[in-house]
Amino acid sequence: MTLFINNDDVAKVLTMEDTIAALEESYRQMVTREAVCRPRVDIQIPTSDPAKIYQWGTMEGGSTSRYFAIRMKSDVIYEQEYNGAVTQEKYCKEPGLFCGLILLTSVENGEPLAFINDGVLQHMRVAGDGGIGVKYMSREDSEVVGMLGSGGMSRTHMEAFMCVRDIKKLQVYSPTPANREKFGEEMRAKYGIEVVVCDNPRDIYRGADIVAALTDSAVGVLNGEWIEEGAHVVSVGGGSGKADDATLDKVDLYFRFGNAPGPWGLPEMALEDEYITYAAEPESYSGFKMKRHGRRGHGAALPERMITFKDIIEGSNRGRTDASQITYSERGNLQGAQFWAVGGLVYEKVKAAGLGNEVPTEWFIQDIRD
Amino acid sequence: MTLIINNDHVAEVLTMEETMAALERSYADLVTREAVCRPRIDLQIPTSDENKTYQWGTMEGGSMRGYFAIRMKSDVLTQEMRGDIPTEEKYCVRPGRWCGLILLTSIENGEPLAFLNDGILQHMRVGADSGIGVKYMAREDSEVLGMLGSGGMSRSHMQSITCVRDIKKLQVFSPTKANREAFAEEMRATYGIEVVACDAPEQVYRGAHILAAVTDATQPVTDGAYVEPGTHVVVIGGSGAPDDATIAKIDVSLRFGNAPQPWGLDEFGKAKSRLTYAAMTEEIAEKRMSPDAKRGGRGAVAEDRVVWLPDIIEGRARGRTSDDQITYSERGNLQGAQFYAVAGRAYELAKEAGLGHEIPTDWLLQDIRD
Repeated sequence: MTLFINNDDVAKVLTMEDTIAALEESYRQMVTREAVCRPRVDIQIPTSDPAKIYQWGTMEGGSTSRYFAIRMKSDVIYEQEYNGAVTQEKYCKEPGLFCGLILLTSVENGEPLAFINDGVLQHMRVAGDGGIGVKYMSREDSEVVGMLGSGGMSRTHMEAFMCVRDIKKLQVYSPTPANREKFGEEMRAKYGIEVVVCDNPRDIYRGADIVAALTDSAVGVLNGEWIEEGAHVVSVGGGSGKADDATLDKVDLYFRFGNAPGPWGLPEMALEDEYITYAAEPESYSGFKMKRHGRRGHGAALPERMITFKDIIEGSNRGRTDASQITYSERGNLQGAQFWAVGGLVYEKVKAAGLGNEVPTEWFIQDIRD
Repeated sequence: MTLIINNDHVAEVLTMEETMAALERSYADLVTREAVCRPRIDLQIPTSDENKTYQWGTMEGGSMRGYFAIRMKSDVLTQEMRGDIPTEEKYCVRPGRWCGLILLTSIENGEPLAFLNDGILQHMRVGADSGIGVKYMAREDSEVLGMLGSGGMSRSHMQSITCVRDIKKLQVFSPTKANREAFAEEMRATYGIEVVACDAPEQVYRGAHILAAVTDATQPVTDGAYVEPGTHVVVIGGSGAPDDATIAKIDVSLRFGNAPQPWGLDEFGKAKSRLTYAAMTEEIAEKRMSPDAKRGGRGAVAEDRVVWLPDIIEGRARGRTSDDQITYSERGNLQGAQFYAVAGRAYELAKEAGLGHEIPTDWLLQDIRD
């Protein structure tokens, strides 16, 4: 039987510790070439509403250690202004619903093992990366987290940071007072730490050992001027997903986990791009700020100050050398290496727990070959 | 509800005429950029059996007319000798089963509309392309069809070629006598034409106006020494191209088109039949990877003699200009533009006919955004 695994099932079985361990193992295998992934590919097609675009996006990868997975997103995207901030909005079928689906297969016999809703897993894998960055790059004695954003990504990032550092204080800001207050209260209760809910973004930077920008803003939200010595920076979303120039100027050491390999026989086509986009009617400019018309995804932010997972594994560079250094971490275009690793783990645990809806595998295979 | 449509359902509703019409429309929409696709991407991962490699492959595209589709293949590959011809064998879960799955979505609201087994549709779309090639390039008075291969693809090629030319005689060869004779008998009964089951491959070329090489061999199976003046050639299968001697003889080569380029990457995957990412070292790839994957796929056949389908349709170029020219036709790397078009039509027809299994669309959607 092929399992359909929903977010509730994923939430029941997946822990942040396991997510971080699975991701680290996958990145190690990317270095040794036991695993493979390719860059994210998006396809954009204008809908009949000029303000909305259909966006399909996939990430894929697999490993000799058992699993392959593709993550597929199928959503209508548009932009909206809220409290002066432009955000990217999306839905599938109707507002409030989204389509993000992982198909997990067996590398040993090709079998489609499971379809997994990616909502919970998505937040876990992105935060897992934040945690890995903090683990290798932030000061060992990091205690204070400054956070911009109070949504789902903020929750999982707190979990990841708590896994790898002894956090004692959170300073959080997000534009809507009710949201940040609620988040502050929740974190206080969950982790028993001091939480300061800030009424302006400036204050989250003061004394922060870790600065995390976690928003779906269509433009960057970090302000490099306010980043203090010794801080480690993580940035998710915020338009390009990359930190602002002022922050990057200050960064002493940049940890990029790695790059997807090039296609076989075509080394000149190896890309650092965060994504590549194929578009129908590429000239019909939507005015989108988030995924700007005709633009490539960003590559390595600071190649001259960069270390990778390979350096860490091989011991040639272990990261921060000084408590006053400002460090920054991001995954690189290895998204495809995440879903087989975390999805495989979820599948095993869900199966062992007897969760998930079953559909006959025979529906997905056939007796006609191509 | 999301439909799961199997091969029986597709066979019941989809005709070759509809398939060819849907494909021609899609290729026209690619030219006006109302449709988009990207080149096929494969991932290869060694299994624990050193003679077997897992291969995942996808093709995708969509159109402003309403549909998007991804076709996904998940199989274990082995290289085997059939007689003295190296062939690529494959299976999913167990020998005799394969996994080729199309996911169809709506570009208007992102909704996952259907999963379709691709077995019938795959044969139809490949056969249809050869039919389109024959329609524009073969002599109008073509009557004799020479065929190498007697499998499912040979059947769909008979269907498409008889749609566009008044075929009176089929000459067929395949290595296994029983197979070619059974196929000949079937074609005789289906089409009421003269059919010769040949004992040697060279016999199919004699007097043939159309030569169709339709096999799963990994090396070219055509032999240019035997190709006669006036013949139109199509080649399907592992090698996907004729032998060098045939290529040398081609006067005019029709290519339907190339996949568009991604934003800002004018050379990425340009004209390539496939891009392969592999979890392999050079040493493992040397043993396990097919020659085509190893060299990074291929581009246009007889590139210096290519005419493009849109130019022929719009009268800017001519295909064949004399009865004794040897012509060739191939799709180019537009596979991704085929599945939304043909699967979209099959979905409409299956839905109208009340065919297909239903699963709740809710299983594929979620209330957590990324």
